[in-house]
Amino acid sequence: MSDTTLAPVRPAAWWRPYVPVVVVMALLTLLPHVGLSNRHVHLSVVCLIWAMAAFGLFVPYAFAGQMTVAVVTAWGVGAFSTALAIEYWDWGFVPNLLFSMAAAFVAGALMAMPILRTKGHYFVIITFVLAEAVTVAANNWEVTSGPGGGGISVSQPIEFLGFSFAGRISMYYLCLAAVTIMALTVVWLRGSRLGKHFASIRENEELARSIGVSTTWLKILALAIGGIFAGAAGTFYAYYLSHIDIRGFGVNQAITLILIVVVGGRQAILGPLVGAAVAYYLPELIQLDPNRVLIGYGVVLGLMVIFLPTGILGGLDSAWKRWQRRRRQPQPSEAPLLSKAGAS
Amino acid sequence: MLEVRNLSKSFGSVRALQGVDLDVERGERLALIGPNGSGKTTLFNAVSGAFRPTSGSATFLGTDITRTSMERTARHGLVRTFQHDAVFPGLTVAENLDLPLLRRASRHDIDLPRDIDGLVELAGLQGLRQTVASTLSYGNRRRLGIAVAIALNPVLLMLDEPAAGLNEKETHALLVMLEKLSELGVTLVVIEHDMPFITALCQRAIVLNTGSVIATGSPTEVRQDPAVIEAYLGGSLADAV
Repeated sequence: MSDTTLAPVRPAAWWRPYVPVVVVMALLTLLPHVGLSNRHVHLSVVCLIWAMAAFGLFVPYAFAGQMTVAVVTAWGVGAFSTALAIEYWDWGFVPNLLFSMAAAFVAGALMAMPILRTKGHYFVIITFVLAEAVTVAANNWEVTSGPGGGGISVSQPIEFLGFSFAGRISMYYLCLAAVTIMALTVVWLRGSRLGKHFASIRENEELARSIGVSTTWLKILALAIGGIFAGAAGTFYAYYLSHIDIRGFGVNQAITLILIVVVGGRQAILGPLVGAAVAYYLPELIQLDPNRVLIGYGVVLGLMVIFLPTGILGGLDSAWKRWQRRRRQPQPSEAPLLSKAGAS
Repeated sequence: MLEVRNLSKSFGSVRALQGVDLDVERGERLALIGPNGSGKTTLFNAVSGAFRPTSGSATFLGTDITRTSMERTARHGLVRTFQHDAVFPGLTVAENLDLPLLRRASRHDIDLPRDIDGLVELAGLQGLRQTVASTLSYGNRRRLGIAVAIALNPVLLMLDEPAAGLNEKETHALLVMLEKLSELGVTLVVIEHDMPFITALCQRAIVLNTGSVIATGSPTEVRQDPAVIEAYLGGSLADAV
């Protein structure tokens, strides 16, 4: 096997990875001004919230290689923490957000504990069982199931910095700001010392252990940090939809989150946003029968695994690099005569 | 430096290690040899903390490491490499070395290269800093794996078949690298089947067979030991020799 030696490169500027996020988010601020109907603004808001929740899976999966179904539980914990804090203590948006993130962090860590004894597919199966168990328990607990088992209503809009985010467009901008902050945080995390340790687990766990990395606890930390993102998504979800039901945080939603991360691409920071657009927005856009959405997900997932295993953004990145390499290589007719002579 | 006493490891009814005693002195270059399945890698795993031995003890620099995890053993200065998958495949050479450098220990007696450039030079990987590890040639990947271990500034480096699969030129480059490491004060314990390599590198060799130590001495001496010949060739063939 030959070495693929690249030309020496200068160390990339620290701010460079942040640029695509800022540019894309800046472009998305224009979206409500391109004549979108109310329905599409609404779908965009929900799509952004899905992207936030997907960041909760993206962090442990893309960084530390840990897949979990329980991210949907952390999302639910965030949503219900918000709803219950409003109902019982009448907390405002910021304390609610912080409380939800903290509660989801704890939930994420607790749901990650089986990793002390299992790994890989077995761990995913256990998180699946745990997520279902939590859903069933919460559905039978009157505090979380709400009056008559119909869920809990959130009667107030987000009040923040003197603004009331009651309208769809204002919520769109608030959620876009939240997704931007999350994406920038994820960029920072990837380049941080912690992110490098996560990467060592993803790349070669045994080698990581041999160089002194406490892989088990770091995996739990990665899953708990994912919980923070999912918890924050839960807060926005509860406020925006005004009513939450435990059945909205079940296995179907978990499958959608997994699809979002896989479709978007696990190495691309904006993957959750692109994935949410494909997995959530697209079926709504083409008004796909909800019963057929899951079939559609299965087909898309199968096609992705075969044709785009690195996701849409990963595929685009590979195609771009291939094109650049091809452009750099001299054509046979352009090759210097001397090297032709040397080769013969 | 490293004292292993009566170390045993069983997997169900299979006794992979049976009461192994081993002493490694500071600055030594020790070879651990034996036929396939003799327990060499199991001994590495039991000492480095990859798994716990069934009985016996291991002491490193005066500290009992018998039931210490691999992570803690590495922080203590005992670092091992693997026969396979010894690099982070999706990361570049520089990123592979950056990770262990974050965990580098300061020691008063050993000062191995503390930056990526120094490690790249020591491993002979100049010009490959930005190359993704999975695309490196086999020999370069092996040297990168050792460089990852060196980045931790280890006191004792345990190498599991570092020369396996290398051609003559690559083996020589590896030998030069390990001799340089030894000169810098690193104690080496090497599992290897390549006897000329062992003879050139190590002062002493310990031979394992079916989980027990059957011979100790210089590499040249153990090669002539009848028990070693029998272990490698089998009883009848050994008699014929």
